[in-house]
Amino acid sequence: MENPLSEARPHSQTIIEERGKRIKLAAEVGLARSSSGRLWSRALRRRLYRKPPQREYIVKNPTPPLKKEVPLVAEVVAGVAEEKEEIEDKVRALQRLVPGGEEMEVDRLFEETADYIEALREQVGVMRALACILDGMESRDGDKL
Amino acid sequence: MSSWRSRSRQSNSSRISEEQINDLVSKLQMILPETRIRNNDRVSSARVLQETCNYIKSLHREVDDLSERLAELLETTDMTSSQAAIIRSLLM
Repeated sequence: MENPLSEARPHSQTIIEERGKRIKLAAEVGLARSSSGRLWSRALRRRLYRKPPQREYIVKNPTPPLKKEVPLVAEVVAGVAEEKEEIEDKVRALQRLVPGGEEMEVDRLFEETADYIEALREQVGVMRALACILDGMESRDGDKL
Repeated sequence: MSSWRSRSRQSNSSRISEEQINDLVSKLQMILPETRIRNNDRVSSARVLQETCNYIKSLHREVDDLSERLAELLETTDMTSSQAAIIRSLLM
């Protein structure tokens, strides 16, 4: 669904983009606030409220990457090392997706993941509901909420 | 089986046993929506972890897309200031 104004006036498209970023930021703040007791929400809040450094832009997560040589899963049977490594790789990937995951132990990580997914689902639900409301308001002229 | 038990005890706390991983992964599998993995199928831990990562990424994308969409809708919608206040309070 394209906004006809955006083609005539590209400047308004930038405004919409900027607004989209602010909305996303608000959604992340809402997400961080929704679960105060969780490690992921504290990590997310630290990320959101951290003041940017004066000179550098932080591009990547400043925590150093985990050394590949330290196994996360103890080997039980020789010969399934490849499978173990595959699981470890995926656990690491999960750690990068969950805020603060890289500082968590594996059992805590899984617990936090479940809670984080739940919170994300709720956030998506709220945003979808809002989009429906706004859609409805757009098509009905002058109707009060 | 005692060898890995003693090993995991003396190692740092981030190492856990295969048994624990499988147990945790099966719990993780329960929170994935059924469209991702059918719960009665026996799937590998690696698969569950992959699907979990994919699911989180898709939720992130949805937040991005919805943010864009909301920004566009706000552009074209006329509303009173009280309606705007309600919407703002819902977001935060």
